[in-house]
Amino acid sequence: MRKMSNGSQNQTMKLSKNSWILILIFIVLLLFFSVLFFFRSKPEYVSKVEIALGTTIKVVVSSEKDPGLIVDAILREFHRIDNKFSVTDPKSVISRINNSDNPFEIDEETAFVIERSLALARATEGAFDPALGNLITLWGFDKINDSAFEPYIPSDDEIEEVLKKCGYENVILENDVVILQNSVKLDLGGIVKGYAIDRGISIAKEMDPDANGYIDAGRDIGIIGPKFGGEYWSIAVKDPRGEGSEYIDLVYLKKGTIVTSGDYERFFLVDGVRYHHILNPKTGYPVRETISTTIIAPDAMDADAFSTAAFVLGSEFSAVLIPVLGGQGLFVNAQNEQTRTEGWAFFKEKH
Amino acid sequence: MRRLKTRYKENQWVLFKKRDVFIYALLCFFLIVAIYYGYNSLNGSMIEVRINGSIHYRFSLEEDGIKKIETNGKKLMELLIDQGDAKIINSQCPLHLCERGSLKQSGVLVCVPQKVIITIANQNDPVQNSDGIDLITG
Repeated sequence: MRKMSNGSQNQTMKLSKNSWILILIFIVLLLFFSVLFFFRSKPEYVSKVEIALGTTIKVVVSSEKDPGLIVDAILREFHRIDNKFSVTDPKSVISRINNSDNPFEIDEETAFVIERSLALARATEGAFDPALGNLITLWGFDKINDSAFEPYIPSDDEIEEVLKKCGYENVILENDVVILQNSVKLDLGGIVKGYAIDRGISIAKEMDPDANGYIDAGRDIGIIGPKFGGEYWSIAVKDPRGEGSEYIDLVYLKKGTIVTSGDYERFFLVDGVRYHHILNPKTGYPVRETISTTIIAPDAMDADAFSTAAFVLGSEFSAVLIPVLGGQGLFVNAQNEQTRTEGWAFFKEKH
Repeated sequence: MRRLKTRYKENQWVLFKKRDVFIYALLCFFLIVAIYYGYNSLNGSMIEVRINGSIHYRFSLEEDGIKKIETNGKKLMELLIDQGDAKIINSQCPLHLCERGSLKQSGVLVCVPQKVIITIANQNDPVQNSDGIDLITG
């Protein structure tokens, strides 16, 4: 009885030679795909694209911790800042300041942003001006992303009248109270995107000091950390009159920010004339002398303001002023001539 | 004679035995899983169209043609897919800024007024273009 049992056991274990070969192939394939699955290079980066601050925000992060969590935290911060500093949302702090009886008590963060924007306005002699709200509204650039936007060219008289209600000199900040004189209105659009980039980088670094990647907010870029932890990011400066991805220069960054202002970003055409969103605070009209300014600076907030200021001031003056303020720049004038600050060349090499 | 016959049967290379079926089935299952996994991991050419943050459409970059992008019965734009690239055409937004550039050029197509974002699915790693460029400012 025992014999019979052993015999049947032997029989069930017996497979044809073909089957043994197949089993061997199966094991080899299993090992091969296991190696592929477990040791394949995991995606280094997690990226997400969302719309905030009237533009595209792309966040790309690599981290030993949870890169997805970092990406989400950065995007949440962008939306928070968008809501808080929006000029069109009646609930935003900027709308409430603009529509309130003076003086208006503000929180610490708002005070910081306004204070910094006023300092940058003074440093650029008003070429960057955070108190052009009335002028921007007159041209309609605050609603350029609305589906119902219709181009409107104001008359000289309208512009002259509105310019009286503009200018950073009319903004008084005392501790946590802001006072707007002469019915001026704040529009921090020229600095808030940069502020959001700086905040995004801070958040990433708080969550993981070794995190790397970048934030691309409408092609204003803040570097979170070197590519793959040690390499340079290769960043092209778009040709302002080129097609698609044509570019005029290439720089390499491992940290810091690079911001560009161009007359091709937000504009409308009437009778073949381009009306873009960078307005000269003195004339009230879109700047005609410059078509593109690119700034490299440690902070995006500064770079954002510098690029607007350089656009207004023109290439020659900006090439001197911007390095003094702590940035480097590449400026393209209306004749498509390029001017670079002396320190720009530093970023053209991988050091 | 009978004994010899049995031995012969035991040693011969029989292609199919009843007990082998399990092995063949397992191998087939494994191959199907491997092919499915390989297909999904290699196939990075799907386009995702997100409207207001949620995915509304998925298209293959391999299928040339014009795709309508709509939400709540309202046409927002059309997506032209041609030879592995895509671009927005006939957008209902006021300035048509989203119609500039293509998916290959910029990696993403965006229409801010209509809150539409078009990306290549599962493309997480930064991709250098042929000129070795990671990013473009401007």
